[in-house]
Amino acid sequence: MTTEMTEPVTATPNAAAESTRSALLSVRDLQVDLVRGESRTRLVDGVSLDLAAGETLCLVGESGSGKTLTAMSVMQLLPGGVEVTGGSVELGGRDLLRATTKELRAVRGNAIGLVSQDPMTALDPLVPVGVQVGDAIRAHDRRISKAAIRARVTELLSAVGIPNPAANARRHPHEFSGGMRQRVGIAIAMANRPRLIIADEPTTALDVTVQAQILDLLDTARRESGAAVLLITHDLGVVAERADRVLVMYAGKVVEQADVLDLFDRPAHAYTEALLRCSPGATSGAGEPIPGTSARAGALPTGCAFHPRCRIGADRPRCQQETPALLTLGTRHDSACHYPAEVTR
Amino acid sequence: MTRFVLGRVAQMAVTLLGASVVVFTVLRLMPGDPALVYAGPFAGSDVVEAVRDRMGLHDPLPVQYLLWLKAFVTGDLGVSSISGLPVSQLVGSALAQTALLTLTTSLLAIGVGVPLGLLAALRKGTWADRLVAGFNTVALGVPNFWLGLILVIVFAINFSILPAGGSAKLTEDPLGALTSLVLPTIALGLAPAAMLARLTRGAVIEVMHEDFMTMAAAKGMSIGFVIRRSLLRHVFLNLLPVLAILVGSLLTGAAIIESVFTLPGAGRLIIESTRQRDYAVLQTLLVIFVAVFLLVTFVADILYSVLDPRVRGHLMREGGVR
Repeated sequence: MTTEMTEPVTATPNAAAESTRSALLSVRDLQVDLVRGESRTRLVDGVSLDLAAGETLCLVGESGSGKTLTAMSVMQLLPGGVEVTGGSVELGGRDLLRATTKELRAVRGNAIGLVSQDPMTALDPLVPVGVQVGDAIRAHDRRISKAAIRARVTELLSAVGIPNPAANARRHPHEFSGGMRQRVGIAIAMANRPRLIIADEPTTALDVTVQAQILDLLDTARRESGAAVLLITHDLGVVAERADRVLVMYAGKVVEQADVLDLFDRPAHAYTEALLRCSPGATSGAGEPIPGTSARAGALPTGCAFHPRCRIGADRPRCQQETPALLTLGTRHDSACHYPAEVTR
Repeated sequence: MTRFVLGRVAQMAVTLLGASVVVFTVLRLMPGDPALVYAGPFAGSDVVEAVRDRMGLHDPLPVQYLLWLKAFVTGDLGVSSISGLPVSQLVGSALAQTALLTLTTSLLAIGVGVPLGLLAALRKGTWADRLVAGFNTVALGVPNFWLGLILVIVFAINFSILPAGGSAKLTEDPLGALTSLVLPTIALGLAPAAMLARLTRGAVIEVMHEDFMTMAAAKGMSIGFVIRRSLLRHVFLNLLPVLAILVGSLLTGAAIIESVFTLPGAGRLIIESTRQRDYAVLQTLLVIFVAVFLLVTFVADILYSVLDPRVRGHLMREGGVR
């Protein structure tokens, strides 16, 4: 038991390890289930992803596609009843799924910083924001002095663009606007210079005018710290501007992944095509909605889960019966579509 | 803030005045005659009339009320029509006794209830949770006077390790006064402890679902750190209204337990004075009870605004200058 925990898990010489040589975060065949007594519902099914230092990977998909669960599996912060039931999550070569609670705590907020979706609820309304930033530092350094924390908090708040940081540190969250709160959220995520920043739809709850500012701030933080960013979004405009790599999810599975330009130029999955068409800003698409409703976990259609809503495969027996595998089409471009050649943009 | 406080104080004064009218009227509507009680069953009608005259019972009710009110606000609470002792002395010592019992009972209820609720919530679904739930059911189901009697039989009579009650004064015999409070405190505090355990469990589970708790975990904070920093504050805010009602009802409603343990508290005084139609004592005591309730909820509101910066900010805006 001890050998397993103490021995650093080094990359073993096999095919999978070869491709993840430079990856900071490497998720392999992740499975997440909703467990209720004996019944299990698969929520995330076989997701694999690699993320190198300094890189931004966007997770795209509709609500319920499993993007947030995938990201939160990395931090091991899943809601009650939801469990990782298979696969591996390696950060810097270390399997987080096998880490003890104590080891996980040392990783959370330290090697991995989280920027949450809703800055209105992610901060404790009863605690001054400076204290909440300081707690992220104190959680990983019990012996640090109060003065040192205060200095670092002021520095962090100033870095994320909070004016008059020393005085504003003593204010409570309700005295800040949504954008300012999200800046505080980024300060918390950056407090211990993380190697990975997970941002779960960090701008969804914000005014359009401040969305770009917050994303710029994240970009700056990434460039200056060299951290990798796992950015969850359903806004393809954001993807086009910020991503290096894109991973499209549908019904708990990865349906396509590619470098950002490649994905926008040559989408190879009917779902990606539909997403591009319904997003008015990202492409020449006119904002056509995707017909039907998103597939529900536990009641997935047979074959390709997207086929009932698909322009190409709705009536094709192969799409209705045969589950497509995620296959490589070319350099760093994978798709799980039976008819990638028929996808246009 | 100041304007808020002043407004509330004025509001409480009006409420109290209204309550004094109600108390006064209801007491006079009560069957029985203090003059008859005072004069005794063998007194002639002329004696009763004389007593009635001396007590001022011949005046019209509004006049009686205004005379009493005038004396009351100038600090003259009158004398007990039965014992002849000053009301201030009777009520004062009874309230001191009850306040002491309220303090020990509240400490027991909070000291036992909150940790149990916390344990049950953090170990939700385990045997610890079920054990606490079992304790709650039993503690809430057992009537406190019955528990009091059992405690007296076991600890005072069979084992003789604790007094069955008593009237030792804290100032004269501190140890005696405190040991005589042990059994009544347990009898009185067990049900509130169970109630607080239940409420705490619910509040903790609710707060645990808040986004900022997930965020705290994502920062790498240990559970103890999170409990101290966030959880307890939110749980306490949740419990504050209940705690106010608990303290208020303990201050005014410990009559049965005080009788069981023969503690000379406010509850017993109110029963005795009612039996004897001792208007002067009853009026004072009941008005003070109303005042206590108003004061306790007022203090709870102030505490709320101190602890919750959102409410504090709101009050400052509403109230104008600080």
